[in-house]
Amino acid sequence: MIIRGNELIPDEGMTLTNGETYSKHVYLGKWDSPENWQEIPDEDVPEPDTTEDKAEAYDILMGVSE
Amino acid sequence: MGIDIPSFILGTKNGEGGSSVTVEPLSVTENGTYTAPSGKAYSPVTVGVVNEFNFSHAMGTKMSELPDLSKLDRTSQVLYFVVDTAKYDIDLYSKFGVIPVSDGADITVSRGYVGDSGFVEVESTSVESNKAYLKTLDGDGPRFWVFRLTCAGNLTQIKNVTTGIVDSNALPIVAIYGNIPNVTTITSYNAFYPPLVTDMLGVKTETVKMWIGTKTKISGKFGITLTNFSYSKYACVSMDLSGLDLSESTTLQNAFGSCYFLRQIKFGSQQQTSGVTSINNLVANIPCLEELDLSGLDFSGVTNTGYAFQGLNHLVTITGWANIPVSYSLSSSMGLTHDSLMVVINALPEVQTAQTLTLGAANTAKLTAEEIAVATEKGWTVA
Repeated sequence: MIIRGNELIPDEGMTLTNGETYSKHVYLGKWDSPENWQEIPDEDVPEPDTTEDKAEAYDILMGVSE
Repeated sequence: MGIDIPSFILGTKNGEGGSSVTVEPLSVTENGTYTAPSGKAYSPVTVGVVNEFNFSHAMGTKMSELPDLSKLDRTSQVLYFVVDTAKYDIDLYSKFGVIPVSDGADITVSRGYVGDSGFVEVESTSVESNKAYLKTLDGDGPRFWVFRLTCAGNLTQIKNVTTGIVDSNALPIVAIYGNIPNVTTITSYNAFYPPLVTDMLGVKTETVKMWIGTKTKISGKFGITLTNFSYSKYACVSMDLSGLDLSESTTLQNAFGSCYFLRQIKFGSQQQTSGVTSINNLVANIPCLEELDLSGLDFSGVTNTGYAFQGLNHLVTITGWANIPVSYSLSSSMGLTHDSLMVVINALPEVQTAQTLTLGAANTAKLTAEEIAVATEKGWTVA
């Protein structure tokens, strides 16, 4: 991880996370610190799961949902 | 621009639509159907400016080919009722007495579906006041009817909006569009589905009524009664909620989430929402939403943002923002303009503990270091 001022930049192939959000470039606020962020491999970043939402949308569009 | 809604939502044509990866925008300059290159987050896009609303040749076509109803002509008093007949398994031909013929054909409606007090009588055989166009979707599958009603005179009130087809069962009206600037009251939406979401407990029905009549832009105004609001919202194209009274609301969780057809939503500038603590899924998963204005909302009491703004993949313009004091993400809206991002940053309140505004790489790249510093100096980490 590269720390440049309040900027955090992960190594290649890595992503930063504070446990709640994921980013390739973090600008720390005045209350935050690099210790709150860690690197994880890109492949470990979870994809947003919208499967259920899409299914619900389809049901509504097709008139099968109440 | 219209969007191929089912394919967009389902990602059926290109596999993995709706993710938050960075993609190159697909630029189009002419009407037509465009399929983006294969790859994550691309979805087919249909572009078309609709000037006429004609379903007489739409037999067998798909829901995705419905026109962009938000662009219908609103210069005269015309109402459009989109009716979903799927649940009722109605034989459109024999029970409704409709004979779909060629372009602009008049039909005979067995019962009136608008008005019980003489304001509008659909049973009239007047050519100009009794037109409907039929659209059958996917063979024997769900069917949506769209009725066009040209209003004679000065329409000020609509009562008992119902299609009353068989044995007094009303068909579910899934959408109403039109230009009815003088209508001040719409009541008895007994044709709507039962509500799915009941979080809007603070909404006062008498103010909801004022959605229509106080606004000149009428498109997809629904939920005149609170109990009907939650489901009917799903069919709205545009919402201007300035007439809502949210002062008794403690949560806006799921309030407008998954309103899949919404392209624009405004809450108004006079809302009292300091008692709201949760906005989880407030406007989440609205794939067509292009514009959002939260400037009238006081979110100083919010402690849970959850997925408030998740899945707003086409959100481009933010004209006003609220003072949300805890972490949240706008990273799904990769197309936000620079000005919109600055609206958000400028609205950030000072915080005393570390909070994170997640914009995503595509958005942060639009900002200068000085602009990002506006957020970090308020205590916000920008990710």
